[in-house]
Amino acid sequence: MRSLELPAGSVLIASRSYPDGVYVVRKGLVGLFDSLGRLIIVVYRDEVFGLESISKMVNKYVVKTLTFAEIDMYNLGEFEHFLDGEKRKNILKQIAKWNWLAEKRYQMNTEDRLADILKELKSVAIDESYMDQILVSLELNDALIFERIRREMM
Amino acid sequence: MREVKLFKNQTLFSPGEKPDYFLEVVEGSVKAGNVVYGPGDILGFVEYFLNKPLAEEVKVEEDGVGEKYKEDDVEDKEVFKKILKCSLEELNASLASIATQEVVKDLIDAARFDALLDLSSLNKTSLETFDAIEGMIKLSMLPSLPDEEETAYDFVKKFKKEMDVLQYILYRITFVKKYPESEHSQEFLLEVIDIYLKEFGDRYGAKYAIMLFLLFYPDSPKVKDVLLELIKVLKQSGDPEWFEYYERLAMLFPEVGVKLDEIT
Repeated sequence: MRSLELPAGSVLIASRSYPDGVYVVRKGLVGLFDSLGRLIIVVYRDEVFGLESISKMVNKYVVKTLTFAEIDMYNLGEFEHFLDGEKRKNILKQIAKWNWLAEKRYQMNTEDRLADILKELKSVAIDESYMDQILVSLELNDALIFERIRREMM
Repeated sequence: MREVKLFKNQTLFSPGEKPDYFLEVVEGSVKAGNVVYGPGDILGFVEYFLNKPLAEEVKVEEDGVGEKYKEDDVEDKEVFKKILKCSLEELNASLASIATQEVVKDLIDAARFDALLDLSSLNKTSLETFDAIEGMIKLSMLPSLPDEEETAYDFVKKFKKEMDVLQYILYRITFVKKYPESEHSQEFLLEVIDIYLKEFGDRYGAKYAIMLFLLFYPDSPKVKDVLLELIKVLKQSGDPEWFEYYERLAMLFPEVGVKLDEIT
């Protein structure tokens, strides 16, 4: 296992690539971006990404840190080693949640999508100081809309 | 895990029901809403794990066999891997189509706007404008086709281009609109785009057919070629927007390395 400390905006998995291993978020926030660089899903502490490596699949999205983040990276053997039944259930629950969010946000325009994400961040009481870092890590267009929505919601 | 037989027309889940299992189709097929799922597909996974109600009825389309799973089944590592793979494929597809859909929507809006600008252009005489409007109206007066898909297909196939090329196009477009999921529809629409571009040199018609293609088949492997045709049409119209769309297309399909030469 390797522990990584990364600033906001660091790319962990590029689009259409094989993840090097499985990653667990220990601190900070990570985002899944579609292939045009738009934020769709936020990954929180203790959530796992890079699971495509278990299924030997290529991922089609970009995984990037939204804030300063501490992340543990496991190679496949290490990760499978302690993957007990309870952890497997939690992983499937997490993927079900991501599928549900992606499906929901698939129907939304950019503004509604970002407002939805912001609402989600507020509901999990995300530290306000993270917001500036999140804006830095978003694409310019998304960031401008995100900032406007944030002001409206405050 | 429990293996179950699936009987045609059997209702597996009703709309609004919170499923107490999720199902893998092993043989046969199952329909949820308008989508048909076959062997290897998993249904009810998201709703089961999130304890949410299903939006649509799930019915057996074709006799077969299914496997019912509950969360404890993931004690088996192989079952876990199988379920994980299916759910990640679904996630990958959703995230990829969000990008495609948003770009496609932009391109469609641009095509519509461009067509309107062309129509209202001051350089056109009122007669030319009238002709263009009439052409578009004619496209909206689509002929009717038999209700059975294969009969309709035979009917459309039998109509030869030499008989009346506009009618030939209209039959194809009507077929596509009526049976967008038919295996013949993409081929019909590509043929129509080709006729508009190569035989008629008609930008309005080509844009219309391209818009239909993008609406119905945003995930088709041909979408890149169709978008390139749209960019060509925009470029020929003197619309500087073409370059922006070209850049977006290159971003969407980095693996094919869209070259500037292809559209110049």
